[in-house]
This record gives sequence, structure tokens and C-alpha cells, in this order.
Amino acid sequence: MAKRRTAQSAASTITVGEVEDLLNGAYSKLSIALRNPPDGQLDAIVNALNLIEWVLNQIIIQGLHQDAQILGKLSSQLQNATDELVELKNDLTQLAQVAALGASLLNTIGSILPLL
Amino acid sequence: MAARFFVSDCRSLDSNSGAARALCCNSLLYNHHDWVTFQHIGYGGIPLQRRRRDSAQLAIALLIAFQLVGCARPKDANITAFSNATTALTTFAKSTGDLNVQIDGKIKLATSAYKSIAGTNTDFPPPKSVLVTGESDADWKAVTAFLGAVSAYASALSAANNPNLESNLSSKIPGISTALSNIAAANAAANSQNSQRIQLIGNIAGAIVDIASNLYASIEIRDAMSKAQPILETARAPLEEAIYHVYSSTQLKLTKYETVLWCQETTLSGYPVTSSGNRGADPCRAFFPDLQSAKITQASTLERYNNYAAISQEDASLKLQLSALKDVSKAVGAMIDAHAKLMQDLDNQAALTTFLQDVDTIATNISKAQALNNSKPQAAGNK
Repeated sequence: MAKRRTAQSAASTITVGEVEDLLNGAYSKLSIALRNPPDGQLDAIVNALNLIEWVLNQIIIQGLHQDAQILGKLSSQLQNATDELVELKNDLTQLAQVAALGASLLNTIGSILPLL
Repeated sequence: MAARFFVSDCRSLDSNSGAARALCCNSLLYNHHDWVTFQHIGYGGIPLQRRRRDSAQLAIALLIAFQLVGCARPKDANITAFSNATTALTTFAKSTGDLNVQIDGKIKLATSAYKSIAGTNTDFPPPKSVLVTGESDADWKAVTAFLGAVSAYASALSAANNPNLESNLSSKIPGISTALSNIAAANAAANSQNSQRIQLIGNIAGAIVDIASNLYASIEIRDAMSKAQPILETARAPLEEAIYHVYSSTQLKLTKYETVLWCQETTLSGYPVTSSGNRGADPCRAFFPDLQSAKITQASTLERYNNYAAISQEDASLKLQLSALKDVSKAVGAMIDAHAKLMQDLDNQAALTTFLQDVDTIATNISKAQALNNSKPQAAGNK
């Protein structure tokens, strides 16, 4: 559930996600009502359905745009942390080779130390 | 002396006590790190860490080298699980958009078919399906690019902590330890002239043991995680919202598509539901004006049965897919929480519980939806 607050009062707050849920709920109820519309209400139901669809789409388009602006900037920052981990993996791969060399070197030194 | 205490304390633990042993090994690493001063030096063109110590520390390094060979590695499983779950979650999040486009295509196909039936427009193929209204493609790409970056980060985290890489290093430890043992013995009998040289060799050997014991990797992984965490925290709200926006749009499209399916079963089959209180109007023709002038012939009983079975199954499958994706937004939050806990303690297996459960539930529901989608309804009259 999205947490950003769209409206705030002393009594209550509502999130963007909750607004979308309310609109979707209304759309769903009206869609059911469309199948058996109350007398003289068919046109009103059709209009309301089209209006809800338009409003919800506007909220989503605007919201997605704002979120994408933030996430677009964060992508490159996260890439830096990823690059560090890739370098770490490369270091460890190389160090595995150095460890083998180190063991060999230490054995050699250990064997000739008494002669020094 | 502190290091000696931890070494002997660690050895006294029951080998069956995995958690306590892991904790002990972790404490050993941390406390060992406290008294070691690291400096980056070049060794064969490869950055290494060097510790400064007096000759007595050489013996301590030897003891630690032996001890660390037996340390448990629960963080391997933790980081691998985190990486796998994060990769799965990012895939699910992207599929939220895919489902939106898929249902949009079904609605566009239906409305184009209405025009074709009515003879008002016979353009083929139908218009291309779009995400939301087609105005958010670039924005959704930015969202999925961030999801891709999260997935790449999780994969790099796992790769840097690859147990195979670790075992490759660990396999060298016995050889190094034996060599260190020889040097320690030689050092005891060394004269002042060569003791400085022996100490240098001991320093290099100690650095290798540290690396092999994953101390270096642990520090570097924590460092990378601590840089990623504030980014993930900043991304939490917009990422959850963005995914939920697309989920909401998909939910509306699915509701609309259910009306399409209902109209297929009624008006399009030649059995319209007319509303007497609305001048006998057909709700389907009112909601889909493209059907207004369409001349429709009645379907047979068998055709209606098969149609009913097919659309019921399709609707159930789409509902299940959408339901599975409802929790993706929540799981993103759980992923960021798990990352924070894991960063504090790589061995904390409980850190992942909620996150893994969320991802597992989503994966299970998606599997069910796919299974339902793959099974075909048995048409009436077919044996």
C-alpha cells in the first residue's frame, strides 16, 4: 500500500493508494449495477464509469510520473553500491590465486629459514 | 590477549550448537578486527590488507587461522536467499505492468471486434495494447530500471559472498596454517637480523588468512550494504506507490474486461439483457457504443455453454494473477526492512522471515494462476 499522504486534516488522512482503492471499489460496484440498472439510471451509471476511469487514470499518470522522477535519480546511486560489490568479487577471485601463491611462498621460506 | 580469550572460548563450544558457534565465530572476527590496523598495500598488483603486530601476534594469527577453518557460514544462506527473493520480487513487480498491458490488449481486441461486427471499422490488427493509457511508458521504464538496479545489486551481493569463492579460499587455509606453523617455529630460533624479515612474511600470511576467513569480504559487503540502505529507504515510498499505481490501473481494466466478458455471454451471443426501466436499453450497447449498430445472430446452446466455460476460466485466471500481484507493493517494503536487518547482522536468519514469506506467497499464487491458465476447459460435446 502506498504511504504518501495526499490530504491531511486533524481528523484523518488518506493515502494515494486508498484513493485508488475507493475509486476502484466504486467502479466495481457500478459495473455490477450496469447489468441491472435502476430505473432511469443507465446513462448516469455509464457516465460515472467513464468519469471514474478518467479520474483514476489521471491520478495514476501523475503519480507514476512523480515516482519515476525520484527512482530515476536513485538508480544510478544504487549502481555505485553494485559496482563496489562487483569489484569485491573480482578482488576475492584474484586473492584466491594469491592465497595459493602465499602458501607456496611461506613453505619455501619456512624451509630455508634455518639456513639463513 | 583479548583474541586469545575469544579463541579459547570458541573452542569450548559444542560443535552441534550451530547458532552459538556462528555467533562465537562472528564475535571472534569482530574482536579480532578491533586490535588489527588495516592498511591497503600492493601485493603483486592486488590490493591486500596488512596488519601491524609484534612477533607475538604471529602466533595469535596462527591460532585464529586454525579456528576459522571450522566456522559455520549461515550468512551464505542468508545472502543467497535475500538475493533470490529480491530477484523474484523484481520480476513480479515488472509483471504487474505486463498484466496491465495484457488486459488492455483484451479490451482493445473486444472493442475492435465490436466495430468489425457493426461494420463501422474493419481495421486489422487491433490497436496496440498499452500500459495504463499509453502516457506512462517512459515513467514505468524508469521504475523497472530501478527494479533492475535492485536486482543487479542483490545478484552482486550474492556473487561477492559466493560460497564457492569462499571455499576456494578456505581450501588454502590448511596449507597456509601449516606454513605459518613452520615459520612460527623458525621465528622462535631466529636471530635479530632475520626477525624483521620473518615478521614481514608473517604479516603477509596473516593478511591472507584474514581474507580467507572472509573478514575482508564481510567488511566490504557491510560497507556496500550501508551505502545501499539509504537509497532503498528513499526509494521505498515511490517504489511502493509506482507498483500500486499500476496495480490499481490493472484492477480497473480487469473490472472493465469482466463487463466485456458479460456482454459476450449476453448481447454478443444474441441474448441481450434489456432494462425495462431504461426504455428497454441494452446496458452493453450503452457502455460500448461500438455495439450500437451491430446486427447479432443468436448462438447455439452448445456455443453458449462453451463460451461460458471459457470466459469463466479466463476470468478466474486473470483475477488470480491480479490477486497475486496485490502484495508485491507490500513485499517491496519487507525487502527493504530485511536488507536493513541483514546489514546489521549478516547471520540473522530471522531478518528474512517476513520477506521470504511474502515472496513465497506471491510465487505460489502466480503458479496457481499459471496452472489455471494452462488448463483448458472441457467443451460440451467433446469426449
